[in-house]
Amino acid sequence: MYYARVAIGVLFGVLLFAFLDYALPSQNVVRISNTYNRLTNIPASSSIFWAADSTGTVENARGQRDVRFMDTVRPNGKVFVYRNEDTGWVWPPYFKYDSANLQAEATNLQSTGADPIWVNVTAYGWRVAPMSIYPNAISINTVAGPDARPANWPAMAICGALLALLLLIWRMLVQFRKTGLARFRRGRT
Amino acid sequence: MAVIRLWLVLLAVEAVFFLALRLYLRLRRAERLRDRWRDRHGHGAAGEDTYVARGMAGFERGLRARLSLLVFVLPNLAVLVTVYLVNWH
Repeated sequence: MYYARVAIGVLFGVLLFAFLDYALPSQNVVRISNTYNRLTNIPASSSIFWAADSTGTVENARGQRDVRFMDTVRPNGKVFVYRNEDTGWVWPPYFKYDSANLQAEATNLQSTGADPIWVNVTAYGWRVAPMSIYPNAISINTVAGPDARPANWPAMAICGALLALLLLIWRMLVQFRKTGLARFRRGRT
Repeated sequence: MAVIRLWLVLLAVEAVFFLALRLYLRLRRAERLRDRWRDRHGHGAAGEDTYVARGMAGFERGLRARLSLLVFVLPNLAVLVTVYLVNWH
């Protein structure tokens, strides 16, 4: 029983970490090499890693979407591909509906290896090649050079707020438990 | 329609949290009043419940009770700030 509880606790911790890692914004300094649309097949098995249906996304009869993508190159030379989809008012709560503007910005900041423009792309999500899923770009800012490491203030603020909320809920539960027992013992308020 | 759904879900969560927070603040205040009475007059002294009831009377007009209404404001504000930062910043 003890080991089962430990196993469930560890699993819960790992799932929570994975969830936050997926949903919180992350930042990477990259150079944009190409921007394009591609008709993309979205299988039901990985549809939770794509924008929800009710965000204004149009799917054809075969379940394919025309998705905006950005090809980028990292300072270490490895490539990285972002998608650029509206999240709308659905999950995750980024309320993004400017993906056309973001694509225009990305195209404007497109550069070659010989004359690079380094940008900081804020995005959420994972790049998992075997499942064909891509992180969703949220915003693009130019930075001084490939070594820039801008602080990830949004993620820190969200983590801080979640921690404060957790602390408050914990205090509330402690109070409910304590007062509830005292009430039972006394028989009345 | 997704906006309305989001707003309704947010409102429901806020309402549940608001009720729990109110209950928490009330219980905590009552407990402190009770502790204060017992410090002064000892356990089981007469008049304890009256003292607590009188102390709780002004709870609704208190600062904490009013601040707890922020539960209905702050999440909506966070949504608006996110919308601004993501789409216009």
